Amino acid sequence: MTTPNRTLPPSVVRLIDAFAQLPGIGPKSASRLTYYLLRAPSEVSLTLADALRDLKTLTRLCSVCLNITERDPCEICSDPARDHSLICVVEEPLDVVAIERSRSFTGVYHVLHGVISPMNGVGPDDLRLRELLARIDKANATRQPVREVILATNPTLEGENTASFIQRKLAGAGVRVTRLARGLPVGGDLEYADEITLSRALEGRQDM
Amino acid sequence: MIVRHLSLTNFRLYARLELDLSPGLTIVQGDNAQGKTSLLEAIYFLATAHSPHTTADRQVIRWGAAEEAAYPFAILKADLLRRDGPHVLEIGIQRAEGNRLKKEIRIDHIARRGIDLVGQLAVVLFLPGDVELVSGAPALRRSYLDAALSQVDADYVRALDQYERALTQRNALLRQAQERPVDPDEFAIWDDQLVPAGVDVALRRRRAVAELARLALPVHRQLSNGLEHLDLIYQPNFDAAAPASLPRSYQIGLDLLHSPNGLNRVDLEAAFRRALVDRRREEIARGSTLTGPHRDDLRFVANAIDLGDYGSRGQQRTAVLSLKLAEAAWMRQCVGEEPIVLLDEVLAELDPNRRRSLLDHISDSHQTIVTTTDVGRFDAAFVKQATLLKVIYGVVMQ
Ligand SMILES: [Zn+2]
Repeated sequence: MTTPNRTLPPSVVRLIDAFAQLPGIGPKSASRLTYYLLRAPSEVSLTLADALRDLKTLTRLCSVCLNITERDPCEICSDPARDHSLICVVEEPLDVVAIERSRSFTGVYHVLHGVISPMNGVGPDDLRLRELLARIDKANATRQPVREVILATNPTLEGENTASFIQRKLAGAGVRVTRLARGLPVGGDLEYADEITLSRALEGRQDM
Repeated sequence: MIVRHLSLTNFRLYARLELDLSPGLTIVQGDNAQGKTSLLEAIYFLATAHSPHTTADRQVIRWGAAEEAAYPFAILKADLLRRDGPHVLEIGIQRAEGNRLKKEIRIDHIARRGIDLVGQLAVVLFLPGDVELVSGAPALRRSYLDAALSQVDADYVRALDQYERALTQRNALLRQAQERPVDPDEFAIWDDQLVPAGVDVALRRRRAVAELARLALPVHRQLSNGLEHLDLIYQPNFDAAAPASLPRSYQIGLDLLHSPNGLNRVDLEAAFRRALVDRRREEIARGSTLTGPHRDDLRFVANAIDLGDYGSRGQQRTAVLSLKLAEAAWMRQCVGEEPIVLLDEVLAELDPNRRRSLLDHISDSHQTIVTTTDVGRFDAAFVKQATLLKVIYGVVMQ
């Protein structure tokens, strides 16, 4: 679909192609964005370019919770006021943002960076699951063991199944494993749930 | 129930159509490829959100609409009159980026999900190729059951959707297991979804088939001049009464299928699970799930002879007619209203005797729409009671 058009300068084609690789952006939107930037003042493009470069050079994954951060450990993991014996497991960094916005959770997080989905070629080893198990083992060997793991994956088929896989792996670890209460729209994303719904789902969590 | 008015935009070869429909019998006359079948297809689409030809959803958008818009679309709309009053159903279909197809459903002007269409508009569609249901591959019979149940049973739609998604994931996992070691828990999580959903699908299909068989029996007896005793048999690919490792030829013994065994959920789930475990190695080798309702079948048996294998073309045609008429009666039971009967070129292939029987059976229908290339094939009395429409290349004339 992308334009092998001889009348377009290579730098324009390059940006169109780069946009078109992003999820949710097809060749038409990619062209529209590119032409918008061509017409807009150069600050717009330069700010975007800086932001893009910083995104990869300044950020890394927190070595404890694997959330995206500029300092390691992240703000949440290094906050002594948070309850480190309570770990909320989520699919994506955006889920942390959503739960934080609800102001109903005082524990810490663990970001899986995905869900188990064989048809997308994602198995347990492609997630940050090993890190979760190691983190729990390590904490349980100290005087501050993990009391509870809340599985807050999305209420989709893949989210539910990833939760039940983790639950199977934690069986016998002496940790309480809970799941968000139903009430989140089925098939929906945590990310889009409103604050009240989210805090209700957290409060009403149940043992798996 | 009846459709009082049908509006189509960019559907098949209709750029735009506004058509008032009458209750009772309507005969749509037109040469081939002029769009008379598309009228029936449109009504069917409004009932199910799918084309009756399972692969053709994408092609319902008018060819030519593609050149006029970046994302070509079709809109179908029906004004219905049901016992509970007038309603409006609307389905928008749009080709989206990445060659996807977006469907937007509105019921009484409010956006709804596909599952909300269940029970809104009940139709029974008779197509010229229906005889394939008896003689063709099992997949045709499964999609027939899926489509029929999806019109009346929202729980079935849910169970089938869950089953199919879990099955796709599990099959992908089986193929991965050819290349990497797979943790048994990885299978366990998909099996936990697959088994209850699969048993739900099988039980609901079995219940529907039993009811269809009961209703088809007297119809078929009449259509066959009292000569044939028709039975419809749901043939599960696993049975709680049979050990999972038994060869298939044993499992399809008719006695076993008639036995009341294997009808309860707990036994069926256990049998299904056992089969999944027993055949794991074989499944990995083939990269596909070998047990479950996606491999079930429906057999047509007349006087103890399997019509799919041994029936004459005439017997197969009669059996499918009996099934469809039973479906109309079954739908009436489930929905509490007369379904709309759509007959595409079917009457022409029947001898006068069967034609009379068929029309007799659907005489309770509040709306029947018949297509034909030649209205002269019907007798004058039949034509006289009908509303006549003529279709010439996407234009309908009253
Ligand atoms: Zn952290």
